[in-house]
Amino acid sequence: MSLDKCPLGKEVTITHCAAEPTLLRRLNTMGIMPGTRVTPLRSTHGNLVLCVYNGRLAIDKGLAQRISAS
Amino acid sequence: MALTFALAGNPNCGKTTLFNEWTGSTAHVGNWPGVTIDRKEGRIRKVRDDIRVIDLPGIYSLSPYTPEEVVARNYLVDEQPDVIVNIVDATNLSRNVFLTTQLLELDLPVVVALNMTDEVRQRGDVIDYAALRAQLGVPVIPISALHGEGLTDLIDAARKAATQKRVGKSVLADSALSEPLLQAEKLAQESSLPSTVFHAVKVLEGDSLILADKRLASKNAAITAIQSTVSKHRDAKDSAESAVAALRYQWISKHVQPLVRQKKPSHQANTSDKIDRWLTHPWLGIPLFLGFMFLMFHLTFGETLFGIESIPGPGVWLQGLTEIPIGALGEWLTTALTAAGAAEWVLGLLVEGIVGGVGAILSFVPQIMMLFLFLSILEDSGYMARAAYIMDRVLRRFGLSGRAFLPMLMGFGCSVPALMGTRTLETEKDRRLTRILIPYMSCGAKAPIWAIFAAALFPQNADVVVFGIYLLGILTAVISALILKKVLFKSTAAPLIIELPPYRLPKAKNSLLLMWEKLKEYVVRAGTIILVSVIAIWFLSSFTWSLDMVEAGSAESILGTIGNVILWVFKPLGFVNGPDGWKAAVAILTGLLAKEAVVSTLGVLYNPGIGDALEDEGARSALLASLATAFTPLAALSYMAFNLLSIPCMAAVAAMRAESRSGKWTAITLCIWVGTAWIVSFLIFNIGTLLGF
Repeated sequence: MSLDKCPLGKEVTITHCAAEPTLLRRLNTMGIMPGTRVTPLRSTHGNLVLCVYNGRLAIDKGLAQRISAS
Repeated sequence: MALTFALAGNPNCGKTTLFNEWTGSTAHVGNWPGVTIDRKEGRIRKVRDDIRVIDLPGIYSLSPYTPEEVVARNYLVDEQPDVIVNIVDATNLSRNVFLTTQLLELDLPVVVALNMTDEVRQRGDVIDYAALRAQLGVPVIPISALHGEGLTDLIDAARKAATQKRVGKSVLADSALSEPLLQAEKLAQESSLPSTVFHAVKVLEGDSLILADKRLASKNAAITAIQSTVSKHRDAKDSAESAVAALRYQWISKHVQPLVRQKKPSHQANTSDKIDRWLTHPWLGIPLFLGFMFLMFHLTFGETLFGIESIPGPGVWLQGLTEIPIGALGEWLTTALTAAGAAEWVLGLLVEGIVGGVGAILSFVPQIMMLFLFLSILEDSGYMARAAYIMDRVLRRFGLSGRAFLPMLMGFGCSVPALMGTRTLETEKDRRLTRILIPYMSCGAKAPIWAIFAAALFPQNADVVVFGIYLLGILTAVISALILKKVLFKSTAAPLIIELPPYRLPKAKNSLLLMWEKLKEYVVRAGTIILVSVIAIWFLSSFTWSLDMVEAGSAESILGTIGNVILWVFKPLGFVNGPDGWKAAVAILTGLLAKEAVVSTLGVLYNPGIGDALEDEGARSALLASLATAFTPLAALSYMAFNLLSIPCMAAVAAMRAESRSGKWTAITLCIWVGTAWIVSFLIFNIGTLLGF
């Protein structure tokens, strides 16, 4: 299921990032890649704040829809 | 012999705080060649030996993709500092160590400074420093740059590390890619590449910059062999880089993450999260943000404090303070020079040109300074990232990313720092588009234009008219963004990925230093250009083509004749009718140099000899009367629209040129500005006339 549909507050594991190379690089650098455990914390009109490792990362709705997790 | 420490770390890790603590006023800000990135260097104060520090740009990785990363890695590989001081945000150890694993691959001594250990303590978390040191293989020093803790230990450790040579090591050495790594290392050695391990890993990653290195030119066969081995270990869809990044994080999860014993799990709401529930609230977020911004502008530009009649707004009050000495100087010079029998042109040059020019800049400085201070505080506290996040939704509809909001917001103060602020946007397309839109945000220098026309032609509704002008600017920006996106900048805005650092109370010293740095850049950039512009305007409006001196702003002056020639361009826009029409055209020309000049020029042209309409009450009243007869309300609206949207001042144009580093795009941008201004003015005047206004 895509990140924007994951319930808030529950830790999930990323399975796939549907992104072109440039975007994928940025995601990887921030630690977002298949296997990473993240927790969606807050949603503001579809834009998402994630807990990644011990930090907070904000991504827009379009991006959240392209990252799958379970 | 001088030692050089290179500070490397993620953005928001407190690197700048440490740099400021160490170097204070010895810091010197320059530029990395070829890019608009600050190069900060200084000397560590209060130590006996000579230690230089260079603050590398905040980076998340040493890849070759963003200019910051390229600048940092070229510096480390080519200029070989004596030791890398890697600042790591201890509250987000795992993500920060991603960069550390890359720095460790270089043949340079490394010391890891774990910053924000005070926050770690506050949270009740415990980090096993000794084990971390064992895993990383380099000294790990806990510090708190904000409170000045551990800094001497850090200097000692770095000094010691600088004396011992270090060979790069990679965490990939005991990963699935250990074999290809060994082969790549052999290849790097044979090709005489320095920092063998670093270059070997880059070959594994398929790093374009390294693979283009001449020393690897003949080794294509070997490189392809290594890369095919790597590809066996990864998903066909992933790149080699992703595979390596994944291995790094795997190592970090296994060897670093367990060293942090957390009192509360990461995803549990911390203080910053609780604050964010309000500040990034779906419905309250934007209003709160707008409220903060309004407060900032009110304190900076507001005539009175919170509407209390007797108390001036802080910004306006400070501005008034600078006008006193300038006014006095001008008067003194005039009397002194006249008494000394100086030639008229000398008087003109010194009083109107130089003192007037310096006065124009200085009068602006206090408010720009306040604006910078507020923005520095908002940036340092971490709120700006939240603002980008909240505004992203709104801006994305018009093809911009959330990060564009800050430069555009600054445009309401002054376009020059706003244009410089576009550096934070991710793609060049985003930056170019934003730079075109920034001047539509009516800047502080244009405000006197609205004030005077509104007072002259719309006395009952002056505030509505001025507000309308600001809205017109925003509306034009929105519509232009939509059009330009379809026509020129076809890709969608870069997706928003932004770190939300924990809220931190900024240290006063840091905010002031940040403000000071930005202010210096503004004064030097804008100041020199505006000064030159004002002198040029004085000259062009006081002399004829045959260099005879005439009354300032007469139709025979160079500027006057140019104004008459270009009149026909403005005829359809409705504001150059009548015998005085050329005056409006001339004011537009002088406005090209500095927007403050529009009102002064109109004042001088309509009522020469009675003072500057910007500063002198009598001159202002006279101008109000003149404008009321010279313009119709509709013509005034059209004229204001043209000044709003057309080419901003020369300082802004210079800033735009410097940021875009492209003559072609500068020309395109100028054409867009003039074209848009002309079209909007045309529409306002002609549709208004048709509707019977």
